[in-house]
Amino acid sequence: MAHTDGARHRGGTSGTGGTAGTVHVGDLRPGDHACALYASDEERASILRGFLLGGLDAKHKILYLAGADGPRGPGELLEQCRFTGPPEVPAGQLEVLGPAELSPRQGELDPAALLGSLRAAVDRSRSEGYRALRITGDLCTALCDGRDVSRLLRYEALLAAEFGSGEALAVCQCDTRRCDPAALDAFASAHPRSVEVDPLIRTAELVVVRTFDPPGLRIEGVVDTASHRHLRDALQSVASVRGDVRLEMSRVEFLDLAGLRLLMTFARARAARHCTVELAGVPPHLLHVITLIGWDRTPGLRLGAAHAC
Amino acid sequence: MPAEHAGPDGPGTARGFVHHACLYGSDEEFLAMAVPFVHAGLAAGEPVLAATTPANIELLRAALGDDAHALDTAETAYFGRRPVERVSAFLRYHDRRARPGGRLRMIAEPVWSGRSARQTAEWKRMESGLNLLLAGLPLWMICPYDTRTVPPDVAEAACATHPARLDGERVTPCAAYRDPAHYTASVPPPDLPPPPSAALAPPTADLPAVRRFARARGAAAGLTGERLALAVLAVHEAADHLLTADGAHVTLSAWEEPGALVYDLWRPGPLGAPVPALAGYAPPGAARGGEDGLWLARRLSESLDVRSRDDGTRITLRVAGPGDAEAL
Repeated sequence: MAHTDGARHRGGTSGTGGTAGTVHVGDLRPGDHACALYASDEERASILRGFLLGGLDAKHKILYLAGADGPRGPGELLEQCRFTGPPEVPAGQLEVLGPAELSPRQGELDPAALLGSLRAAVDRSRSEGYRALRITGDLCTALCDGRDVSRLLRYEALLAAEFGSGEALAVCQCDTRRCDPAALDAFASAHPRSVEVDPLIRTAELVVVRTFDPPGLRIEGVVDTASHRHLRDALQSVASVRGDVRLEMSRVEFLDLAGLRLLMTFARARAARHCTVELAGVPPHLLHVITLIGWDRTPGLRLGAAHAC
Repeated sequence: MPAEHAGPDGPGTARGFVHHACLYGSDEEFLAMAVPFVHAGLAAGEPVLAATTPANIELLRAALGDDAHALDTAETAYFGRRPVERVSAFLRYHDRRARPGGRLRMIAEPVWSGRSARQTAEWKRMESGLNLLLAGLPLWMICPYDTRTVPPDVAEAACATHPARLDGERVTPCAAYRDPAHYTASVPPPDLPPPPSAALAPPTADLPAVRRFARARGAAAGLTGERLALAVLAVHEAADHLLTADGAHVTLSAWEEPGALVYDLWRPGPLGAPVPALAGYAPPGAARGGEDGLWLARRLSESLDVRSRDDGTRITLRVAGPGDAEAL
């Protein structure tokens, strides 16, 4: 186990979905081409919120490529993002292109035709004075025709070649519930990175990220006296989740006793609601400590497999 | 000195902890205490535990007849190897066996022979400390001392650490009994400053710096993986305990002894409450306790000595070195 107890490095995490790296949505920069694999509407909304806010903040033009089930305009898109207080969107900065614009011949989506639309959009964005174009879309399902992912991959390849220049960034959404596993793998591997929600907590020592499948948190770094408050806040944010919660701990470098107690208190509170808390990837020495104290008998607590040394 | 007969119910019927020593010099004397104690407890429907030597367990079972089936037993050497584990073992037995409104009985005979001077002193302190640590429990505990084998100073200490002694069924108050705080102060752990060869860290109140030092010294001593992580956690919790005082800082040093890596934490000045010698023996409970971290540090160390003086507080903890074959 290479516990360094050191500072957290930006973007230094490897993610799920078989991609080489994970990037938090707020850290996206022009030139990035990432996939967003989501398994719930809540997770998609959370990523989209970060994507939109990041774009508004950076004065990027935001283009949403909507499939047949996608939003029909900026208003509907903002609704899908589930903002508690929707942001002010200057006229023209957020554009939704629907199936009619994306496949003018009313036929199948054609990668080359799509690319043409995107090139035109980049030109338009530039002439309108935006610093960059950020594109996202939910075309994955439409492009994955059964098990045939060739059109999707052709589109992704064209996209990567076209937008590597730094004038645009793209996040390709994929609903993992609606995708064949093989297609999902192909889709993920067509992207150098995978995007995930912004961390609930990001300090020099501690990063806590909301996870969705299963619902829970991923805890990375150091929990000690200085960060108990942050961990408590993060746990509070999943306190209302229905059903079982998983806390992914394989990247915990240090967790003190009082921090461990916060997890036990959380489990006990969940047990009162007839739900469990799974601690996954717990470093072996912490499993040892949990057992020493007898906290392995905490109601509501499930101890997953230990993190391999 | 007035003596009372323990009688069928005994003096522990009232709520609270009753702690008696029994100095015995023969199997017959052991049984004269143990058999009526166990019979009466079982007859009253009380859980009864005998944590003693395998030989005494065998003797007792043979003498109890059918009641032997209802007796809980533990080979005492494994019922808490060290005092901090012993206290946890007692509390665990209580938690698992206690019934509302009911009392428990225990025969708890520590292993005294073969102990180092440091260990013997700590077990003596614990025997005294049990009067405080278990004060709230409905528990009648008899601690037998085999005068054929225990050193004379241990037998003598029994009368200072137990409010009364039990001979057969006769209870006699111990005239030599001392208040636990005073007794433990009279049997202090060795107070040795770090050797000149010790590695030193500058005074700090920064826990990450404490952990970096602990990790570096642990790694230099050959600890790896889980054992290194546990050593770092132990030092962190001990330092955290000392640093709860406003404005406090600690000076760390570390050195190697045969079989152990020693970490010494020194908090200078009269800052914070003195740390009593008995601090950190009670395991973490349902609510957060001020000594939880110290308990963990104690539990993860081979020994943890606390000394509070006018000019500061010192915690010295020894973690087993890489040659500890139990952990190989």
